[in-house]
Amino acid sequence: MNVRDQILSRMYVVLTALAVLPFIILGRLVWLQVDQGDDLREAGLRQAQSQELLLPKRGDIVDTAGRALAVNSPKYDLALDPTVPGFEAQKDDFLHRLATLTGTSSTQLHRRIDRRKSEQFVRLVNLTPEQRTEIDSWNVPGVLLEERFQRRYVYGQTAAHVLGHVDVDGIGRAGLELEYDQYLQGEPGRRTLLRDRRGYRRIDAAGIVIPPKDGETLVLTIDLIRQTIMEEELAAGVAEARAKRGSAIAVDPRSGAILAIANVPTFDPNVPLNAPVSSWRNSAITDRLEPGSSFKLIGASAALETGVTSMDRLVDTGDGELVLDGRTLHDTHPHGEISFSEVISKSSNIGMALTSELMSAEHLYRYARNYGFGQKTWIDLPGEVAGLLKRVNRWSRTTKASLTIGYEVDVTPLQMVMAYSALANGGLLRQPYVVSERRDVTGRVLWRAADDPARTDSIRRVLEPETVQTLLPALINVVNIGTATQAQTEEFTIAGKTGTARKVVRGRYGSGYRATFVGFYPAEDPQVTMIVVLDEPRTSIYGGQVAAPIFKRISERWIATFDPPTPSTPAPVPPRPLDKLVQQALAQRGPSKRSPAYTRLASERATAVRTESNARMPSASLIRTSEVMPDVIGLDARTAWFRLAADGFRVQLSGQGHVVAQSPEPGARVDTKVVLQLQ
Amino acid sequence: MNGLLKIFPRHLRNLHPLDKYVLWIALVLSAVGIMAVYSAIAFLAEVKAGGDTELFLVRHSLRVGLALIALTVFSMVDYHHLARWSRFFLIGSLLLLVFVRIFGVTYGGATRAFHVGMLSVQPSDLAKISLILYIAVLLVRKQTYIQSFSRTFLPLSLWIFATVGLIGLEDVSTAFLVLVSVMLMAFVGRFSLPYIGSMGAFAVIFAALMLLGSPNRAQRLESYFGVKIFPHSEEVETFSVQAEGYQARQAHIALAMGGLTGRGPGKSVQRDFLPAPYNDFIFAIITEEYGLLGGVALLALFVVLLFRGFLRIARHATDPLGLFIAVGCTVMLTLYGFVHAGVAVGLLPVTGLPLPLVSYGGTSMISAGTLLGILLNISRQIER
Repeated sequence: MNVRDQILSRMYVVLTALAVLPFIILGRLVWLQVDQGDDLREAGLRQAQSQELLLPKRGDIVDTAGRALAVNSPKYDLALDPTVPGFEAQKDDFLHRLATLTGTSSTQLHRRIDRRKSEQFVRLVNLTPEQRTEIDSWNVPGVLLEERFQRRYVYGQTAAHVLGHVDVDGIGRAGLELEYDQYLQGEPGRRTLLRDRRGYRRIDAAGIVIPPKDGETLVLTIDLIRQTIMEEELAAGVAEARAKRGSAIAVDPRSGAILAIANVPTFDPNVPLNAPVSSWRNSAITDRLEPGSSFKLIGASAALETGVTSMDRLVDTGDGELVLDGRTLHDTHPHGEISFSEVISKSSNIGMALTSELMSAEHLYRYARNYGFGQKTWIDLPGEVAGLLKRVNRWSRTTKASLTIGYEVDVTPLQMVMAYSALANGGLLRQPYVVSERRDVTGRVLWRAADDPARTDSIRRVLEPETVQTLLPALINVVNIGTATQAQTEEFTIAGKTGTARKVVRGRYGSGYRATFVGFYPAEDPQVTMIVVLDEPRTSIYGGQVAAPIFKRISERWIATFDPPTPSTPAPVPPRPLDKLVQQALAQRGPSKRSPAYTRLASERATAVRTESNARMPSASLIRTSEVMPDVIGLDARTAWFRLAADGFRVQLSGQGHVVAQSPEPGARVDTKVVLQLQ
Repeated sequence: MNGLLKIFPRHLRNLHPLDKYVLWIALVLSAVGIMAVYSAIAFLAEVKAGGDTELFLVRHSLRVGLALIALTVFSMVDYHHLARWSRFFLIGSLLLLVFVRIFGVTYGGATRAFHVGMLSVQPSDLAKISLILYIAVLLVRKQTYIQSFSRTFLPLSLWIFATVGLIGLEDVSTAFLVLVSVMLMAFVGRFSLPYIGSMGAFAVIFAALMLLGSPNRAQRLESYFGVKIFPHSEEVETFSVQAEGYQARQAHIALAMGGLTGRGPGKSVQRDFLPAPYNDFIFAIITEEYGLLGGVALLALFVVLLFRGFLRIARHATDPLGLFIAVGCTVMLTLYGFVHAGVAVGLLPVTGLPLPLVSYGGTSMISAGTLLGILLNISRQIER
């Protein structure tokens, strides 16, 4: 074999050896695809994709007129990575400017960076959009601004207990925010992003985007202006009476819609942590209390419907003190021999207790139960308690008498106001509610409380209309000549009942009292039932003296907030049998402290022209914004009326259509009365 | 002036046609490289140039242009002239290697290059070409006493280990590849198997020393075998970007993602996960974008180059010098290709060798062009 052949043959060996290599590689390539292909592909997809949650906007909460109570405002979180190249150079300057912008000190920021727990993360929360724009414009590396929505309660404390509040993550923690959280939340959307090995994410143009579903809007039965008035007056009343706490609820007895709920003390849900937790309590539905005399309604209805007594049946209450089954009962004054009607209006404990002896325990229990005591009202607010109504087999010998005068039973203010609403609407117990509608973001109504069969089915008849008509005059007299004369107002007839109950503190009756007034008006056609409860008032313990005036002031200022009259043709209201009774009740009115004009007016109203009572506006000063007359010329009658009435003017309308002239002129000095010429 | 003209063997009109296959392979590889690098560079571009991928496209294209110029120039320069000067080239490049060792720039943890104007020059590229030329010269010269220990084995071993050793101080994988190339040359040049074997043994000892000297290298090899061998290897988290296991897995994912036909040009996702996808893992990126078929086609180009280089150019070379140089150039180019692909598919430990004419890189591109140019020059002198 010559040299050349030798070289060539060795070359072929090398060639063969090298030529094998690509086939080994190919084999391995195919093997990878076949054997591990699926696993590898899945791992690849997983690492390269990242899911980003697209947060939905939390639903708004608006009042019955559509005014926003709880909205979302954008807030920005600043995340800082001090290890990003280029940050260090600008650090001092940046921190100085940031400190100036956010009102902190730059040394504090320096310290936060130095003492950071995470290698690369320092966080500042709650920056405003303006601050964000400013920080953005500095263009500092390593600074990230993240947007999120922060819940904002537009009117601060107003309706705080109804609205509740959310936590930092925007999850409802109390009130409607909690109760309707699932509807307010909405559904988050998703977006797939591309991710690289540094963890940087980029938008994937071909990725899947599931847009978020924004939360539903809650429309409340509560009206902002009414709520504001109630809170103002309750707070003023609580302060005046130097009470510890106070609660008030108003309900439309015809539907069960809550018109307003107020509690003192209250808090600002924007910053719930600034107030003590005790102030978060919606006492109107979470506090159990012995109601005292206001509970006499139940005993009275039971007694009347069994027929064991009638309104004019006489009861001897003696000298204001009676020992019954070993328990001593007191009246505030000795009343002597009085009618059952007077027992109610004068709130005689002895009279009620004696009457209760005439009926069976089971009977009384059934009425209390029917009125909703001892059960939740199932209002759509969290934290409601059922109160306590003992079963008959656990009653002692004194329980029956105690129960009729409002002891040995625990009720919530809400239960009480619903019970009186049943009386006001002719005998039907309704379920209270604060959310009248749920709407989607486009405004489409998704659910309406009034149409919800689960709600309408819950109505039950507590007492017969005849009993209502029998009882009503006595309750009107409570206000006219009885314990609650301080609730009297020129504007309409109020029927109601006071309550003054000793408070149980640690299992004993102490020196503290709870003062209550619960009532409804106009008595001829009740539109509002309201309860005012004061806890441990100091100036007076009596519901008639501390709670009734609050009731009155709220009611008077509220008139302007209800529907304005139709100027030309008032709807004729057919006379009803009830009116006769009311007339009788009014006739029974004792010597009035009021002027003759008032008496005349009252008897006129007895003919039940509801619109007339509304046509005369009270001087309810809600928000008088300026010292000069506002300009309403050109507005339609309704808007003009609203605007002026809300400012507390008495409005007189003549004609129909739009306002063409007003007297006094716009810009003139304020007068209480305004005459509008319509055309 | 006259001397300069003399390096062109004949006048241009007298030149034989060059090997069309090899030329086309060079052009196709360049084109594929431009497309693949343009896609794979996106990540680097984002970091270094604010997302300006075109900047890198232009830069890469310029380098491809330089490589093709080198190819053209060396296809016209008679390889006999190169062979004549190869001893000085080699000595010069060895001196440069020492120089770089002392004064060079540190890049990526290793001192390999120094800057001459705009270009960063890696003397190892110069050294490996010079070595092939000079070994070919020596093999031709010593054919009559090829079995001699003192006259053949010692000088060859001296030159080989001087060069490979100096390269290996910084870049073991390149050194290893150069060593295999020249050993195969020596084998073709009728070196006896015991000599080859003893060179291999030397190489293994040298490699072991290198591994013991560097925890990082030891760790790389361990992650390839999946067992802990060396007591001093660095403890690196398995799933960190630096870890070799991570790189290999990402390359596997890239290959699997490609499937049969690939994701499509420019649609690589793994370029974001592989470190230096435009260089060390360009084969993986090409397979991801063009699929198994694309990867096979790329391998096929190197197979064709291998067969053309051996059976057409080396076998028909006018003299033994041409044969040895052709074998050396072909072996080196194809070995680069196969080792690069072998790393991507996980057959070899992660090394960071470029794919000739495809990978993004300055001197490696020009050296590939030079090797191909020399090969083409040999093909031109084949007698018809």
